[in-house]
Amino acid sequence: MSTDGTRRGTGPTSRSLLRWYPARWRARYGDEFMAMIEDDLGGRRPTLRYRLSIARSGLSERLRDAGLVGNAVSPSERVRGGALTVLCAFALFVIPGVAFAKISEHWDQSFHRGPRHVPAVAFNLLASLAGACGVAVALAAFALLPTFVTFVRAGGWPAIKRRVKWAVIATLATATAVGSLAVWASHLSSHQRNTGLGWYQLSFVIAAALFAVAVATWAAVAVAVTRRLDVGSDQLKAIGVLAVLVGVCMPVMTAAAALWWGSMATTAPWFLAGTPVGSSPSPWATNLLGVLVVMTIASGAGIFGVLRVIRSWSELEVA
Amino acid sequence: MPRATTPEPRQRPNDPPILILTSLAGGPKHGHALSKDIEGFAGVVLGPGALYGAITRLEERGLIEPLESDDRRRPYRISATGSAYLAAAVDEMQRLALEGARRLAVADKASVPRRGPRVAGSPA
Repeated sequence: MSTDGTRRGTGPTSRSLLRWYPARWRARYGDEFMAMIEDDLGGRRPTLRYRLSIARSGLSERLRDAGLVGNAVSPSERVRGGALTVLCAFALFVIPGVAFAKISEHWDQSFHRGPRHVPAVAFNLLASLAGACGVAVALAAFALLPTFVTFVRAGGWPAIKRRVKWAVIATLATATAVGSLAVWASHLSSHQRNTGLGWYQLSFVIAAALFAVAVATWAAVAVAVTRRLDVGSDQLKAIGVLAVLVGVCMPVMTAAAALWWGSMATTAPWFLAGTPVGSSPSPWATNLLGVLVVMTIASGAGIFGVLRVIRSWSELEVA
Repeated sequence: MPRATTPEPRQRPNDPPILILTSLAGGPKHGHALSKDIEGFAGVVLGPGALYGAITRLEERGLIEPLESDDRRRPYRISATGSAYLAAAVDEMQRLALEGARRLAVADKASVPRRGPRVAGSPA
């Protein structure tokens, strides 16, 4: 290494750049790719453009390796990739879903007159489909349970141990935060809970963030496990069907949430604004807008997964 | 397993797969040598990601083959399928180039007489 700091050994650098790529790609091309990087750089530090070229390509290879783009992997891998995309999308959807449940809490008690059937239909549709999606995810997990047990007995536990550990820690932290919050809330007035107490609001946000982390870590566990399982054809078909069901439900639930908002805005805007019954506040609610934006993003990802499953399905039959 | 023997429609001469196949048509090369060769004959600097992304796809399609190597620098050579693919792509680009040249020549001939009088200031 020279003293001007611009030239240094590229071994660690090329190894760190290689991490953008999936393990299978690294096993096949890793050594020669590192050799090329070392030849290219000649001891110099890689430019941002050089790093970006590798990052973009590495992420693209990861998507291919996961069966999400291209046809490089088998149809069964593509169906699995599509189903896991739906699962991740649903995990994302759960977060605004829980926020919506909190926002809409006791909505039906806010009416003193006027029709409530439209928001009721929208709310009940959303709640029913959310329940159906939860059952579908549980059924998918149940379908994979025997294979998972075989995987663990065959010595697969160390490969997922770290992820499970973090998921358990995040879940325990969330449970502690939510439990403490519930105890605290029981000693507060409605005004203090909703707007009055800054510390309570901050704690609520922290608990919500912990919940999001817990959901994300469990989704990561599910992805890591499912990608390692030796899934049979019938199991894969069952997972594919359940994934399509969940993926189709998400945009319907998003539409139901939007319909609920719209109908509440016209029939009971005071509920959305938290003002006295019968008042006429603005129906715009930033929190609901955020909920709908995240729901829409999750729905889009879910539909992408559904299309991936459906497009690979016919080839799965042939295979 | 080889899958493609004909080029995709609207293949461009500066597409990384075409550049790599053209380079390998001149003899086997490893990654860094490919990059330098392509920069030399086409003036195109392929980033490491683009280069190896294309190498991965070309090998998957059986258009190039890795050669044994004593060190980490693994050379590649163009396969028979790859040569046929490149030949078809070159034919397609040549046909397009000739058609473009023919039309430009026609356009030049057609435009010269019209330009003449206008420059002379005598409107049609």
